[in-house]
Amino acid sequence: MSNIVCELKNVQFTYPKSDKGVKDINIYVNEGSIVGLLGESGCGKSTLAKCIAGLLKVDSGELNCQKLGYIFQDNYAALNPKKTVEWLFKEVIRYNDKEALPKADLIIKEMLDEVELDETVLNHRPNELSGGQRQRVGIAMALLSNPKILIADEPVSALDVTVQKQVIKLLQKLNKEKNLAILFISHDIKVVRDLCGYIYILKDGKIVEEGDTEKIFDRPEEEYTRNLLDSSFLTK
Amino acid sequence: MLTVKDLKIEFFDHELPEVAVEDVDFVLEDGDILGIVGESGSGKSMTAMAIAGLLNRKDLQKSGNIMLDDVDLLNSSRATLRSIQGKEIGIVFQDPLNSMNPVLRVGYQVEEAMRIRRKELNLCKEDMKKAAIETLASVGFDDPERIYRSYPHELSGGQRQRAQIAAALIMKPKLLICDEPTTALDVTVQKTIIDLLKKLNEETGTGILFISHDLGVVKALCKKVIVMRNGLVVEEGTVDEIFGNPKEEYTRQLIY
Ligand SMILES: Nc1ncnc2c1ncn2[C@@H]1O[C@H](COP(=O)(O)OP(=O)(O)OP(=O)(O)O)[C@@H](O)[C@H]1O
Ligand SMILES: Nc1ncnc2c1ncn2[C@@H]1O[C@H](COP(=O)(O)OP(=O)(O)OP(=O)(O)O)[C@@H](O)[C@H]1O
Ligand SMILES: [Mg+2]
Ligand SMILES: [Mg+2]
Repeated sequence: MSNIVCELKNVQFTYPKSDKGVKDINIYVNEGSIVGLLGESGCGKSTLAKCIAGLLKVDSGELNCQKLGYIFQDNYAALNPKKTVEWLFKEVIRYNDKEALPKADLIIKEMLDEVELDETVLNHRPNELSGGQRQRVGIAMALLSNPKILIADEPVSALDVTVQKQVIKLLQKLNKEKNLAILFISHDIKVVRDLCGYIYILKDGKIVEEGDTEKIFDRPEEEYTRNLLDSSFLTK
Repeated sequence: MLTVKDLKIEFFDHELPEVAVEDVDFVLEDGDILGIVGESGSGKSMTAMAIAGLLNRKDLQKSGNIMLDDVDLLNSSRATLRSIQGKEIGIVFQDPLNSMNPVLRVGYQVEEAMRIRRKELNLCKEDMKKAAIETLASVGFDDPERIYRSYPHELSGGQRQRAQIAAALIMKPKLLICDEPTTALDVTVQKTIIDLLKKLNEETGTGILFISHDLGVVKALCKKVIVMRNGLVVEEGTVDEIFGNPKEEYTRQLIY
C-alpha cells in the first residue's frame, strides 16, 4: 500500500451567499500517482483545487495534504505584473529554501530548459509574455518549490500542441523521477487519458463517478460522463 | 472586408527592440471565417490586438495597414476606434479575467456594446437586460440570470470565457475577433460555441478571425487558415489545403 499524499474526507465548501460549491468530497491521491479530475465548465473543479491548496477555507470535513505546488487556471491573475519573471522565480526559491539561493541562477536555468522557455523571458514582466509563455512561467514557479503533489488546473489548455506535448512529457518525467503526485484538472480528454491512472468525475460540486482511466473511458456508467468524453464532433 | 498589409509590431521596452510581428499580409473576405494558428509567442495575439485597435501603447511601434472596409484601423483617432469597437468589431480576449472589469457585474459588461448605441436604437433598460440574458443563454448557460447578476470573480474560468463571448456577440458585429476563445471549455460547451459562431456567420454574415491552438476546433469552424511562426505568416490556404496537404514542415508538426 503506497503512501497517501493528499486526502479529503467529507469535504464541503459553499461560497458565501450562494448555493455553489463542493459537497461530500471523498478523494485521495497516492504518492507518485497521477489522478484526473474531470467535469463540465462550472461544476466546481477550480473550487475544489483552491480548497485543497488552502486558498478557500472548507466549511467542514477533513483535509490532509503534503507540500503542494499549484498551477492556476488564471495564472495571469496569480502572477504579480510589476515584477520580472526572474524576480518571481527567485522569490519562490527564497521562500522555500534559502540555502538554495546561491545556486538560484543554475536552478532557474535548468527549470527554463525543462519548460522550454528562452532565457530572455527572465527580464520580462508577465504581461509582456504571450499566453503560452506565461503559462509555462506559472508551471515553472509551481515546480520550483519541489512539491510532493502538484495541483494542475488546466495547465496545458492555453498551449499549442507542440508545447502541450512537451509539458505533458515534463509532468510525466517529474512524476517518474521525483515521484511527484499530480492532481490533473482538464477538459482535454485526450490529455487526461494519456496522463492519468485514475479519474474522478465532478458534477454540480459532487463526485458522481470514479475509477481507473480505462474503465471510465471504456465503460462509463453515467450519461453525464459519456457526454463529457464524446468529442466525436471534432474528429469527423 | 478586412485587409491587413505589411503589419509590423516592435517593442521598445527593453534594451534591444523586439519584433513581435512582421510582414503580415492577409485578407478576410465578407462572411469568411479565417483561422490563425501557430506556436506560442508567434504573434497571433499581437496581430489580433492591432486589428482591434488596442495597441495604443508608447512602448511599441506599429506600421503597415489595417483596413476594415474603408476605415484604417491602425492609424485612426481614438474616437473613431471607440465608435467602431463594440459596434462593428466584437472581441474575445485570450485572458478573460484580465479583460473584464472586476467591479462591474457581468450583465452590465455583456450589455456594453448595446449601451453605446442605446439612444440610437431607442432601448430601455429592460430591452438590454432581455438581450443580455438571451445572449448568455445562447453561449450555453442554463442559469443566465445568476450569471447576469454575478461579478467576474464569481464565475469559473469557462464561464468567464463564455460571458466574454456573449459580450462580443450581443450586437452581432460585422467582424468578430476571437483569441483562444474555447481554451477553458469542455467539449460539450465547445460544440455549443462553434455551432453558435457558425450560425451567426451564416445568418448575419459576420466575418470571424479565429485564433486557436486547438486545430480540431479550427478545422471544425474555419474556412481558411493562416499559419504564423516567429511573427511571420509562413503558410496560408483553405482548411482542406492546410490540413490535407501542409507545405511547411512547421505546419505538419502542428497538425500531427
Ligand atoms: N466567489 C464566488 N462566489 C459565488 N459563486 C462562485 C464563486 N466562484 C465560483 N463560483 C461558482 O461556483 C461554481 C464552480 O466554479 P469553479 O470555478 O470551481 O468551476 P470549474 O469546474 O473550475 O469550471 P471551469 O471548467 O469553467 O473552470 C460556478 O458555477 C461558479 O459560478
Ligand atoms: N510588452 C512586450 N515587450 C516585449 N515583448 C512582448 C511584449 N508583449 C508581447 N511580447 C512578445 O511578442 C511576441 C508575440 O506575442 P503574442 O502574444 O502575439 O503571441 P501568441 O502567438 O498570441 O502566443 P500564445 O499562443 O502563447 O498566446 C512574444 O514573443 C512576446 O514575448
Ligand atoms: Mg476552473
Ligand atoms: Mg496569444
